Amino acid sequence: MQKVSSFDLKKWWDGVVEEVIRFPLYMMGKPFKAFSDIKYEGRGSVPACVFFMVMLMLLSVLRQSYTGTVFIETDPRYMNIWTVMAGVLAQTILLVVANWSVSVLTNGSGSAKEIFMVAIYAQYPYMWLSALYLALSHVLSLNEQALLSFCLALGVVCMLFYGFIGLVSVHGFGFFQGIASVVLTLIALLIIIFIILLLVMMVSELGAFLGTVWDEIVLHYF
Amino acid sequence: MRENMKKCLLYVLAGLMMLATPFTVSAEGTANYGFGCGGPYRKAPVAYEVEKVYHASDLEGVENLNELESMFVTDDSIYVATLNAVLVLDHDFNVKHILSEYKDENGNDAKINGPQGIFVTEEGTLYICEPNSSHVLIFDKNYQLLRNYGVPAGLDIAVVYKPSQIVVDSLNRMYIIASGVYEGILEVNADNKFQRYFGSTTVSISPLEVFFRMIATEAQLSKQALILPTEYSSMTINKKGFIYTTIRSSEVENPIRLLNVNGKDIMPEDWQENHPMGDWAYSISQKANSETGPSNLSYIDCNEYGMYMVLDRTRNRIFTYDSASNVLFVFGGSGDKDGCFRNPVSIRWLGENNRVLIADKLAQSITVMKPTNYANAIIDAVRLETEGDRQGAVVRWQEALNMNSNCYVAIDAIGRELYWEGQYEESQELLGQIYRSDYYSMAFEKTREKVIRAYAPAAVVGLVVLIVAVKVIRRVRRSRKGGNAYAKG
Repeated sequence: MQKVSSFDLKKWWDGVVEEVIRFPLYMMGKPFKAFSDIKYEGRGSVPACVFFMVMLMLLSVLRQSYTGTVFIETDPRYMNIWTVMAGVLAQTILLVVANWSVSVLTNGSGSAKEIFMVAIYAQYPYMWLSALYLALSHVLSLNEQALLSFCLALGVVCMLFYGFIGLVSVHGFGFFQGIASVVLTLIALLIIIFIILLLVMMVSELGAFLGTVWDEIVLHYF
Repeated sequence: MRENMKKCLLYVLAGLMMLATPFTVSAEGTANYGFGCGGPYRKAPVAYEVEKVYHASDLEGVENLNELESMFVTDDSIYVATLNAVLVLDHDFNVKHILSEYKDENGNDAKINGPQGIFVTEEGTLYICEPNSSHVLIFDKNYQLLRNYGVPAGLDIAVVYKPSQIVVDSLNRMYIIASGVYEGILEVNADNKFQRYFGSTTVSISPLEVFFRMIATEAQLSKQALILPTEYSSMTINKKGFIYTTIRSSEVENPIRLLNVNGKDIMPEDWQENHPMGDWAYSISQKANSETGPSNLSYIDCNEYGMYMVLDRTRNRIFTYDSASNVLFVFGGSGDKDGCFRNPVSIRWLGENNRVLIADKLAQSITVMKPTNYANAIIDAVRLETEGDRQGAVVRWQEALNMNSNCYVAIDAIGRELYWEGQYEESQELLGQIYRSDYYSMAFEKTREKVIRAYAPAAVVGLVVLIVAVKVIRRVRRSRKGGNAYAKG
C-alpha cells in the first residue's frame, strides 16, 4: 500500500530550497527564461512569494525602526508598525490589481497569480540591497551617504528592470507593448487610488451626516 | 484568506483615513509647547507669567488706552501710541510725558492723530507715523517738533501715502512701511528723499496660472484679482542695523525675514531646513469658531542676544526664537483671562530682566509678563552662548532640561557642546535622542575611528595568521596524502 498523503519533510525542504533560494538566483541570471518558466513550467510558488512579501513588510518596518541614527528619516518612536506593513502590502496589491485589470483589457495572457509572483520575485534583489542598506547605515557617516544612496538606487533599478522583463514575458508582450502596458498600469493605479479616496471621503461624509441626524433626533425628542 | 484580506484592507483604509484627518497643534491658554523632530508637539513648562496688567486707570493722567497701535522701549522709557496721544512712561509705568499736542512748523497748534508706528533713536529723537495725515513727525527729546515729513521727495506712488511702521538706522535713514505700497519697504534718507525700495518681495506664480492668464481675455483679466507681492506687517531693527520683518500673508514660505543692508533675506533656517513661521502644522478643518490656518504674524521684536519674538494673530500666541531659528518657547493665547489676549497688536522686550510687554487693542490694556525660571534658564543660556561663555550656557541649558526633559533646544545645545569638548559618546547619546543627524554623524565618525584604531591591528594580524594557518594546513594535508609536497613543488 502506498501512503497517499504523508508529509515528506525531505521533499518539502527540497521544494523550499528550490523556490526560496535557487529559483530567485536563477531568475537574476536569466530573467527572460525564469519568468517564462513561471508561466509555462510552473516554477516558483505562491507560498514562497507570500514568504517574500512578509519579508519585505518586515524589512520595511526594520528599516523605519533600526536604520542607524545618522540616516533614519522618521522618528521610530512615532512609527506605527501596522500602517508601515499595510503600506507595503497595499503597494503590491494595488500594483497587481492595476496591472491585471490592464492586462485583461489589452489581451495580456498573465493571470493575477503570475503577476503577483513577478511583482514579488522582481523585488528579490531590492530586498537584499535594502537589507544591506540597513546594515551599512550603522557603520557609515553622512559623508559616505553616496554609497548608501547608490545601494538603494541600484535596488530600485533592479526592481524596475526585472519587473519589466517579468511583465513582458508573463503577458507575452513585445517591448513597446510592455512600455504601453506600464503606462496604462500607472494610469490604472491613479484611478484606483482616486476611487479609494473618493470612497473614504464619501464614507466620512456619510458618517458626519448620520452624526448630525442623530444629534438632531437627540435634541428634538429627548 | 478572505478574513485576512479584509483585515489588510481595513488597515489600508485606516491608513488613508489617517491621511484625511487634519493634524492639529493646539495648546490651551498660555500653555507652552515645543515641536520638532518629526513628532507631535510636546507640552512644555509655562514660559511667561503675568506680572501686571495695566489699564488706563493705572496710569496717572491717562484717560483711556483707545486704539493702541504700537509700543517702543528704550533703556529708560516706554513709548505707547494711542488714538490721540503718545504716552511716555518709565519702566515702572509712571507717566513721564503725554504727547498729544504740539506746535507745527508754522507755529499753529496741532494734535496727534491716530499714530501707528513709533521709533525712538538712541539720542531720544521720536519718530511717529501718522497714516491718516500722510506724514511722519519727528520730535526731539523735549517733545518739540523737529520735522514734519510728507511724501518723500522722488517717490512716485499711485496710492495715498500712508506710512504705518518706521525704523531708523544709525545713519538716520528711515525705513518706512507704507500701506498699499507693494514694491517693498521705503528707504528714505534723513532729508526725506526717497532712496530705493528695500527688501522687495517677489511674486511667485505657478505655470498653470501663467497659462490661464495667457488664454484669458481682457475682460476676464480685469475681473481677476491682481497678483500682488506681499506686504510687510511689521519690522524692528537690531543694534547692528539688520532689520527683522514679518509678513502677514500665509502663502509665503518665509514669513519672518531678516534683511541685511542690501535688503536680502538672510534669516537662517533651522538645521532641518525649516523656516521660522510660528505654528508648523495647523488645523485645516473648516469648523466654525475654531481658529484655523497658519500663523498670521503681525509683530516682531528682537533683543541683543539674537533672540526675536513674533506675534501670531491667528491664535494670539507669541513665539520666541533664537538666532538659529529654533523655537525656544511659546506663550499667550486667546481669551479674557490675564495672560491671554483678545486683539494683541504690539509686543516688546522690556529691559534687562527679559520682561515682555503686550499691548491689547480690544482689551485696552498693556500686559507685563515676566519669564518663569524655565524661560529664564533658556534666555540666560542663549545670552551666555552669544557672549561666548559656552560652559556657562551648558549649565543653564541643563537646568532647562531638568525642568523639561522634552526641551529639544537644550538637548541639542548640550549635545553639540559635548561634541566640541571631545566627549563623543555622550554627545552621540544626547543627539541621538533628537535625531540631530549632522552633529551625530560627526561624533559617530570620531567614535568609529576609535573603534577602528582599537581593533584594526588585531584584525589584520588575525587575518594574516588565518591565511598562513590555512596554507600551512593545506600543505601539511597534501604532504600527508601525496608524500613530500616540497619535492613536488
